[in-house]
Amino acid sequence: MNTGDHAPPRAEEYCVEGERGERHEFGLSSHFQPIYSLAHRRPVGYEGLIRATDASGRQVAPGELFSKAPQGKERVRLDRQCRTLHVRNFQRFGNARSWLFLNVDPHVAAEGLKSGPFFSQMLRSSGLPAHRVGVELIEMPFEDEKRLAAAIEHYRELGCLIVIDDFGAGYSNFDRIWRLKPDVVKIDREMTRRVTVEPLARRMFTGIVSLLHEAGAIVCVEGIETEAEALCATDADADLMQGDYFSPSSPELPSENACYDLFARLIAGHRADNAEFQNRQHARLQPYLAALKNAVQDLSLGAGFPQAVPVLLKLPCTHRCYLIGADGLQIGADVEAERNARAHDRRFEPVHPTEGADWQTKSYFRSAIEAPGKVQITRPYLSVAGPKLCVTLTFAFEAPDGSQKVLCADVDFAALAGDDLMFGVARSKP
Amino acid sequence: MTARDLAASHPDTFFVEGVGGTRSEFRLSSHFQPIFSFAHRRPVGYEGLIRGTDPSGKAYLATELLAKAPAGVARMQLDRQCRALHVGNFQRLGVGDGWLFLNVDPFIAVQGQQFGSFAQMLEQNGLAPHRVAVELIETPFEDERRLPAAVEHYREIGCLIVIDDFGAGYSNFDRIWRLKPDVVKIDREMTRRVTVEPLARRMFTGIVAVLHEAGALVCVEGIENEAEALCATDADADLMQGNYFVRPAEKPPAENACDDLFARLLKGFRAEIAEFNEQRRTRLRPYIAALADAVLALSGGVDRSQAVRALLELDCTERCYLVAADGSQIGACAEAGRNVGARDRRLKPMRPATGTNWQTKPFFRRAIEAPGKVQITRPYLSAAGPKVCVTLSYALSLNGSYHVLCADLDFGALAGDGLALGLAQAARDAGDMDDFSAP
Repeated sequence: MNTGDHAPPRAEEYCVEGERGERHEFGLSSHFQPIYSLAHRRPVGYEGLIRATDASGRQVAPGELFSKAPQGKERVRLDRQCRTLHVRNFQRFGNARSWLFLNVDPHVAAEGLKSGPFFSQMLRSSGLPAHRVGVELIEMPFEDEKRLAAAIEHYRELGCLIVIDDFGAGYSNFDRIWRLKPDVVKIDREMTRRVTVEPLARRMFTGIVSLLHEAGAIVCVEGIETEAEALCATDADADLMQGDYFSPSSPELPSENACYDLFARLIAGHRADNAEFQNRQHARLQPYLAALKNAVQDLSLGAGFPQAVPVLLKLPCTHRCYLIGADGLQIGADVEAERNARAHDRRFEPVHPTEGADWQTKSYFRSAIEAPGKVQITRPYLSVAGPKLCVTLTFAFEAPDGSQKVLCADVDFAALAGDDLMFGVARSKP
Repeated sequence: MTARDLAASHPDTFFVEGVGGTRSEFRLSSHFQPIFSFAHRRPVGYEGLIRGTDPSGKAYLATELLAKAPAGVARMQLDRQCRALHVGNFQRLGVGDGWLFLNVDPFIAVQGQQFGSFAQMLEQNGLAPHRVAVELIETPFEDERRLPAAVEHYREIGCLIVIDDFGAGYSNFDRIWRLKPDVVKIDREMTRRVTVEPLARRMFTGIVAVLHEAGALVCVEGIENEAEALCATDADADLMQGNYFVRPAEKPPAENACDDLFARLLKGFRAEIAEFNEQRRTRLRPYIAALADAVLALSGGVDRSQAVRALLELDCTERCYLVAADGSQIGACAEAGRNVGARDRRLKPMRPATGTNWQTKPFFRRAIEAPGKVQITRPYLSAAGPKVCVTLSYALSLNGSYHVLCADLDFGALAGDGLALGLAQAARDAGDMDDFSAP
């Protein structure tokens, strides 16, 4: 799209009286940031962002601007003025298929419901169909979540998409997902920043995206500033991406295919990273898998449990080994690696000992029993036998007496993974 | 410790100065509710809960009681008094090596340190800090950045850190990252929703799994009935608490009080899983068979729309599409006739078309990694919308290169009401459907 094709952007004035009678004047203008679909490699929507300057020409952050407007009618008026400005400016582009995402404060959403059909009238007079508008509910405490749900229902009835912003932080929580049943969920930017530096956040990220998918929402990762963050979002299977790494916000829209090559590179990079990651993981697990298979062989030939597992236990990351019967009950005590017994965390004493513990509902037990003769491996988790994150290797075999048993080995995940074995985490390091 | 000491918990008295100088008196006593480890089938901890009674005998819950105390120093003192009472009473119970869970308001965690040390109080009562779990309740805290320092204080003493009410209000992932809890308790409202709302039920397992990956033990509290206990079992929760197991009481019952209940629960769980798997198999069978036929037809050179016709005519099929080895879609989707009119206009910008690239999607990746095997996804909102679907995918060789045939099935229609309870199980096992042989 060419900037010469349409009218210049509108700018407006906003005046408000402060609590002590002082007068604030701001110049308002619209910026738009593209929201890309990874599968389509083009923008499917644009978020309208307000840019304000005070009388001296200083840039004023949106938070500061809104804090100048007292809660209630005045706040509603400013919010409406911003939304109207965005819609009018967006319509100048003549874009006929993308979404326009508009931020709404939960208070304004609830207040606005009382004060008439402003929004539908404004959309109609601007010629923007409601089904192309995403109403973004920002993360804010709201004392009456039921009233909020009613206000959101109003936007849904108009035909708009419902978007929850900042998911994972503060009040943007699962209870809102259930109450508001959003069409799109935007993930908190702090999460985007953390994923490339914190293994904990990185590990959880994929799970959170897939949870939101199961909630029936399209997932958007915003605030993407680097390639590493974009790769993590790709790996986590986010649908939509937004951030300065792709396109910074601006009064004009970039051309639709501006990021086509960047996406091609990103996906190629993701493929390469993923393959390398799999290889490394495989290489590090190899000795543990081999030792587990040897132990199983000894056990099925009638060796005693403590005699069968020493090689496995001597590997640097093995924590403990234990045996489970076909009924899911642990047979005998854990055999702990020596270095591990000393490091025992007293806080976890109540969940010891584990002899006779029932593991039949655990996925590592069930997947082993369903596929005898094959090694199963869990995702990292905190074992109730604590205190470190582990992955459990399991293998179902036939004991000499004909019964089925499952050999389990908990492997210290952090030690096994090291710093670099977390997809995406190490990439941000120089 | 003599037998008489064990008999009853020690009550305390608490005075509140009212607005007009009126003095109200409350008697405080400790109730304990066991927290069971599912694998061990016995309590591994007890949560201390305060019960207050006024002189007329009217009973007050902790929140009502705290509201009586004016915010500030008085409330902090009441909170401290309650905790000391719980610790003293817990020691009198002599329950072995279990944890004592104590509720702490984040505000009090930050402000309270100046009023004397928690560690000292524990020492005076002879309770080792590693047996204490500090439960941070869901309350907004204006300065979340100061919270980690306060929590670090409890961790340094040697206590376990517990986040309460996860998933509601302010108890969100950002707290998990900042505080790195040892145990996460899931919000009770979630526990209630899981048995009545398929959406909550489906997400429950995922939430527990994500918290496991955060390195926390997961506790489901507020369990009131067998259905909720079954959901918690299915979701792989480590710890369970609720009136279904044991109600709060001044003196909790014997450790093995719930042995029979756990045995029944496991039996019920096994039966349910078996039934669910059978149901799922039965309902998916026609789709897998039709997909297999379509693959055969495509390999035999039959025209694409012809090959998928029977698959599209099945009740729950929404659309079929073919993806090349590089992940790009070949041609448009073949939509089920009944589906076209029901399109959601709002999702138009995302509609897939020729060239849309699916190579990062699990349904594509898994199929291409295991050609010749049917893959099935967890339920999700397809970009083609508007319904939650599961995607069946299958990689086959066409003209010398791999192609992936995909079919989106309407998940709600496929699952029906009957499958709601077991949904999470399906989700966990989704991915590799080894048990379905395809051509």
